[in-house]
Amino acid sequence: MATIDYAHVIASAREIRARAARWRTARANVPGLLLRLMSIVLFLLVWSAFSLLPWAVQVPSPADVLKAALRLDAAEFAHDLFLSASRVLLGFVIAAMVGIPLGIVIGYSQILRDLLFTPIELLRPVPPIAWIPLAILFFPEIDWMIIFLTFYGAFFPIVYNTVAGVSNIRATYIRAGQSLGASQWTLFWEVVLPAALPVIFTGLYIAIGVAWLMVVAGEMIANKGGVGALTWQSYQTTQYPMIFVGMASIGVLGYLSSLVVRGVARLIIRWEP
Amino acid sequence: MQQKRQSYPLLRFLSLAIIVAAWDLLVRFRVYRFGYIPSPESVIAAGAQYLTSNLFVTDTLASTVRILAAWGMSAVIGIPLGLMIGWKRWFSNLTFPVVELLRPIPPIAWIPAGILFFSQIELSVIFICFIGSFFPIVLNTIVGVRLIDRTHFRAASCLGARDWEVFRDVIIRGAMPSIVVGLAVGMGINWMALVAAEMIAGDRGLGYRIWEAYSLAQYPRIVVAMAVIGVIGAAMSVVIRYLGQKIVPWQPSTMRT
Amino acid sequence: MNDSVAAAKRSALHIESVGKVYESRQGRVVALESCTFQVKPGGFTVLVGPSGCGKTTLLNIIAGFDSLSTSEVCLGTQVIASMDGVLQPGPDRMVVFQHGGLFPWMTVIDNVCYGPVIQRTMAPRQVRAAAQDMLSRVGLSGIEQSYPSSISSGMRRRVEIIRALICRPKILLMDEPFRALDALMKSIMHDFLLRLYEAEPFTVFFITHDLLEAIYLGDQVIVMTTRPGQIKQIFDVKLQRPRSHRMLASREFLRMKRAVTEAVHEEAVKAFIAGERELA
Repeated sequence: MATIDYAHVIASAREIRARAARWRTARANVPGLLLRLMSIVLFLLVWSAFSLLPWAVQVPSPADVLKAALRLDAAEFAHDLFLSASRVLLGFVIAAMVGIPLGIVIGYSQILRDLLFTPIELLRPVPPIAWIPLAILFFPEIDWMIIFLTFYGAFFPIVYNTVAGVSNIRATYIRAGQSLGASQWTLFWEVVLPAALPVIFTGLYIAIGVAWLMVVAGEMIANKGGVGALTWQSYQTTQYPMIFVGMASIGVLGYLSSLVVRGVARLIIRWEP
Repeated sequence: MQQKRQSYPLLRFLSLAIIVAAWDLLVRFRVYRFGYIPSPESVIAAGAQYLTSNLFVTDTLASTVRILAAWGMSAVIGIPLGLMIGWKRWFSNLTFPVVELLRPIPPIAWIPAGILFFSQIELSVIFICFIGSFFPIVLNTIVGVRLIDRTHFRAASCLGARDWEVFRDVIIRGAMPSIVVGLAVGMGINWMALVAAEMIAGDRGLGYRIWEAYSLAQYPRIVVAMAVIGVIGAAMSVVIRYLGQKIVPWQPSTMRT
Repeated sequence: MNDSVAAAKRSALHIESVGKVYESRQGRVVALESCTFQVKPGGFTVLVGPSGCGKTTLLNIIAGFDSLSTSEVCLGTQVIASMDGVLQPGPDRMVVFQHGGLFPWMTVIDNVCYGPVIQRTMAPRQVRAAAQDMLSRVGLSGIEQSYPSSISSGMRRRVEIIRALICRPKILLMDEPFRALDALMKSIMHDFLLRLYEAEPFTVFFITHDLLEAIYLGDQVIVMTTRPGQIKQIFDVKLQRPRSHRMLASREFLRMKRAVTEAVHEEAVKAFIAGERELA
């Protein structure tokens, strides 16, 4: 019979106690938060050090970027932000208004799927950015060209997700509805659409991200106002710190717009935990 | 809704034929501004000329090399990073905030910064593509680790596995399906970033060819280059999906795009 | 079945006034309170009780996944859980989980070999041979190279039990292992487990909410109260071994069934009224 292995138990007891102590402080989350702040501080320090290197002389330091941001003309900058945001919104909304009904129809009927989905499937591998030259040729107005790009970028995720959402509904739900005596119309509005909403919203969430990408690309090339144009112009006029200000604002706006979509989703889809 | 679907190949062909016919008619009769777009015949002619030329070979090679280099690098850096972030809380606290901060910035927005950092065009293009595939790979790897059922970790401790053995046998393998998805998504975004970078800042490659064709008013070639990019991008997705199934033989279902 | 089916080092389990309290968002929760019982070496003890009563918490404490707040647990002469801490989980207290215990990314044979290979108790080739032997002895040959997702749920449970036994645990902990199976598969599993056990008895601590399963399998059936979990009653099962289906209609079995059902039903009603949420 083995004797009581106190040493082993005490050792693991010590370990458990240490783990428990760490767990207790993790609940207050002080070390976690501290580490997170530290990581951002570290990042800024590394960036500053990087900009001091002799061959990276052109790279602005975080301090330079901050100075450039503070020197911004608030009204002009706001105007640029607004321009980009409205281009994104317009393209996104048109893509949703066209894409969701189209996706539903394709999801319902195999015939329409073969007819309508084939060209969409074929066009998908072509990156939306590659469409820019053709779009420039086709649209006389720069604004419409950019809106077309955001539309095009948002269109594919929306359609694909809507088709997936509508065609992959659990048969149980449909059958339950039919047993309860629902007509095709009621079935669509009360069963199919709500069941597909989460997937559709995922598509919208992805689409707004892509729409932002496209706005930036279009503005950088067309150079007619907007945050993307601002960023590109800053590069051309060697105002390098402004590049990073532009990048940061693009990032922030993109993030905010996804949050908005998520928020709307949560308002409409109240039944998910 | 989930009945077996019979696809009608004839209908699909018909829909394509209708689209091409419509395209041709719209251009021929200069409906709205369609007169400014190249017609199907001119595209085919330009295609025949470009695809048999040396330029096509060098362009494709240049673009493909850049894509693979960027994708490879983001996998080599991103996967271990994602695994560590998913595994150890302290590492996540140290590195994840920076990742989350930089993530919303689209690769295209990085182009001016990329040109600033790297004086060489080749490196700056690869850098932009790297940014494109890096974040999906890292994020999907983290998700892959988080999705591992806690029971597996308990089973591993019961069986006597130590920390690094848990990492090797549970975490890496358990996260594999998600990692493969991340690699596929990353490749897709990589292509988008490549075209953008080449169009704006490149000197050769398929994306650059589009922009050059536009500035030299060789409009049919634009469409040819677009088609080539589409085909190669699709082919790469298929290859990755196929390889993915080989690496992850234990999933009964196939990967979804 | 003989020695090749892992002859486990049998140990007795002593649980003495064990209690567990934890903090949750709803405040202080007393999960377990003064639980006392013993499992003799080679004994088969089954713990039953309504959902949420703390059975799994107790098993987690014994296994080393969770800590306790009061008193201690001994396995053999070794203290495995006390107020100072809990012994790390290990192959001496192998757990068979409710679901998802097998690694989906390893083949059946790799799963079974994993424990001994990791613990370096045998050379890899020996482990493989032993694993193959065990699998074929219990009628599971032919699936060695399959992945868990492509074999039936009954096979998966059996493989997991073999994986546990090959580690020669001092006590086998089973956390409602057959819960997800249908009644027919369950009875096949019962016979499987009983044949293994009766060939070479190892110490087993089994949790279930299925009373008939508890009586059919165990020597000792312990009924737990609803939260806070306490030991309500301990029954000794006087059925002979080896167990067989004919016993399900015997007078003794029916007597036991009546007694245990009464004890559990009272607690189940209390739990229902208290609105306990089902702990998966």
